[in-house]
Amino acid sequence: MTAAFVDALAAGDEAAATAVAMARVDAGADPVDVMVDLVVPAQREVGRRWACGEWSVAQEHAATAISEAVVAALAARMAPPAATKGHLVVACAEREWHSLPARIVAHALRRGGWRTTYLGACTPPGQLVRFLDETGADAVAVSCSVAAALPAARRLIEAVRESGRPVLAGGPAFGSDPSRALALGASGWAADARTAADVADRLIPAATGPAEPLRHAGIDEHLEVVLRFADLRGQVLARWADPPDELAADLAGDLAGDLVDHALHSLAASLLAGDRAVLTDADRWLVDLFTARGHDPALAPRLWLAVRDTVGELLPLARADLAPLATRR
Amino acid sequence: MADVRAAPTPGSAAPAPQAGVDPFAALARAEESAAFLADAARRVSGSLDLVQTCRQGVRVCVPRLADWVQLLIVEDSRARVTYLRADQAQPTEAELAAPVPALSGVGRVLATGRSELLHVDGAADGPDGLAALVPDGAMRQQVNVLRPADVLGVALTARGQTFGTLTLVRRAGSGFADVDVRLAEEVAAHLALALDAARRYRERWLVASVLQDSLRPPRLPAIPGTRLASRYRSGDTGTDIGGDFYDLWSTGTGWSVVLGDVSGKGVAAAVVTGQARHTVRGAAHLDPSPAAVLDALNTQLVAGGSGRFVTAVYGHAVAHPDGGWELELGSAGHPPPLLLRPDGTVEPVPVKGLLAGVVAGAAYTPARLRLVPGDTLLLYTDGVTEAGRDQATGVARLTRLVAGYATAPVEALVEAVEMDAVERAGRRRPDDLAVVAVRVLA
Repeated sequence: MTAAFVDALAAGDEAAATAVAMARVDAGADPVDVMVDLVVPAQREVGRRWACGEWSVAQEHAATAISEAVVAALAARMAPPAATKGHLVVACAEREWHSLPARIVAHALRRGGWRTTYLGACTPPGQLVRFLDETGADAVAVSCSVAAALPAARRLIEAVRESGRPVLAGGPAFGSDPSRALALGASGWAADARTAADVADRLIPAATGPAEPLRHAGIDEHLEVVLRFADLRGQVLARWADPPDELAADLAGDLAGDLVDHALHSLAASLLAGDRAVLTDADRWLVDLFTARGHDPALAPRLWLAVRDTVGELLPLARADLAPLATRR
Repeated sequence: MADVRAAPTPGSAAPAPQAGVDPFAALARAEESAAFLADAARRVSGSLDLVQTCRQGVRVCVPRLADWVQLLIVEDSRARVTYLRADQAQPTEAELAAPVPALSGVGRVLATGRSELLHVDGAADGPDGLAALVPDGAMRQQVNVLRPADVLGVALTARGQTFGTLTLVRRAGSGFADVDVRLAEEVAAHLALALDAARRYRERWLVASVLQDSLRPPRLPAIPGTRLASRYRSGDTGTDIGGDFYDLWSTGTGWSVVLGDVSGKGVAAAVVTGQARHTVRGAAHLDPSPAAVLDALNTQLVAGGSGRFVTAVYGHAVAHPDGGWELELGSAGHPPPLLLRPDGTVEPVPVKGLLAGVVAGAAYTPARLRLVPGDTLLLYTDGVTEAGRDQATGVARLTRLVAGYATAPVEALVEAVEMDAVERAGRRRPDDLAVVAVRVLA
């Protein structure tokens, strides 16, 4: 099971973690399957340990760095692809620092016969498109783990599709069906790393034009949230922490600010995608986090209420979307 | 028999109103053509990559303009050909010998820059002019299926030069009316500009990429007894190069490291980083001590008269007999390097000196420190500490941040530093940023 691997991550023991992974390859497992079946679930556990307050951000970071090293070692054991279907560039939009899922997708696509280049976390659209034009790459896969990165992912999708290339989208921030990815202009959506290569095979040969402009009513409200972000953040934080004693002690520091960021970024992304589910996803994540940390889960509706009271007058659509979360008992 | 006619001259005269022409239908057609042209123009200009632009070029032509299309671009003695049949999703690419000037076909279009219209009858590969407009046998096979057909060759001309042709084939019955020829010529004009831009971009890029590669920080070497990690981000998203630089190399008995920041941004600053790196490497080869190396850097910059100054830290480490390293570290006006101990203690290295390139003869007094297993030396530029706009609070913040990474892999450390700086810069245009971490292994 993955327990030995997670233990190695917890101990900061890169050699032990690599040994667990390599033992599976030596026993005949495909390296990409080991990434998906061992490293990915282990990283979920790493995320859980941070969420429940067991690990600090630095510990989570350190464990992830070891997983990255293991993935690199696994990739070195992959058989060279027989034929290449084309050149696919894997990228993360700005605000997206979860590099590992994108890296694993790049290896899965490579196993599927694509030449892949991974550009790293947090890539600006201009830099990506220049790379495409300079290397003559055929398509892009964008990986998005956090809702905060969805607006930047949209800019990236627009830029790539304008150059006549298709974009494959995937990752938890795009939800569990194609609708959000397609609403944001992606040419296709993959549920996970394993299916990414199949989707790419179907997607890439299709002719593609520029992404449809977004014209729905949420765009204007999205832009207001983006433009006023710093101001809104301060107001939400003050409202949420009133009265202050009700906000649990360890939320008083950076974490409370991070959670307000999360709520506002999710609101901005849901307005942009025209998809309320971005907010319900964010709400579930908050409730899980409060529960895991032994706080009152009612902190989540209180946070949404603070958001609603802050933006409600200015942004009627947001107000309506936030109502069910803010008034939940 | 082939029926070769001269193409009508576009725009020579406004078509006279004809009896029986429905003005509303004509208006609708004109609107449709304008919308098609606007869309086609946008699609062909989206990329600066020549291959991609060729693909988009043939894609926009089918099925609206033709049932089969061939795009040919002359490159010296070769021709790059992209072709597409309306029922195919993906264009095909081929390379042929460049067509020679001729009295008909592609050779004529290239020589004259004028369109050529041809009707070919039902006989497969008959002795007509098709071979001249579609020179490749395999491609001609695809056209033969469409016979009897009309074939239109249009020149691709941009900035005074005809460098290619666009050949459109329609199956019989749909023919090319004057308005069709004009529309094809307008599409070709947009396409030619996009293709020419892509060709020029590629020529410039070939030069620029070689130069830029030499100005980007090098890949870190493997130094026995250490683990190294670095991050580099240019504030100039147009070039990926900037005024921050670093270099780390083995000296046989130990290693040397330099990290610095040239005043200014972009290419002009990047050029100075190249000079600075070479100066530092050269000087260190003769005398690796910080005093000598920083003096050489200062002297070169002052004498060079570029008007730019540089802040830098330079260190030289030799193996200590009891393990770890003995490090001599000098600074030319650079923010203090941080020494991160395994217990999470963070000590700024107290080393100072004048920034290089301002005053001739400035002296640099190094600090000496002992790096034992588990210690981490962190070098960074002010793009890290000034992301929050204030150097002093920036260093304090960085100190708090890195304390949590004392035993984490150095890759996690440099990533956390990068992430913190980039996220704090937020929507402001980010500065250049460079971080190097050296961890001493047991």
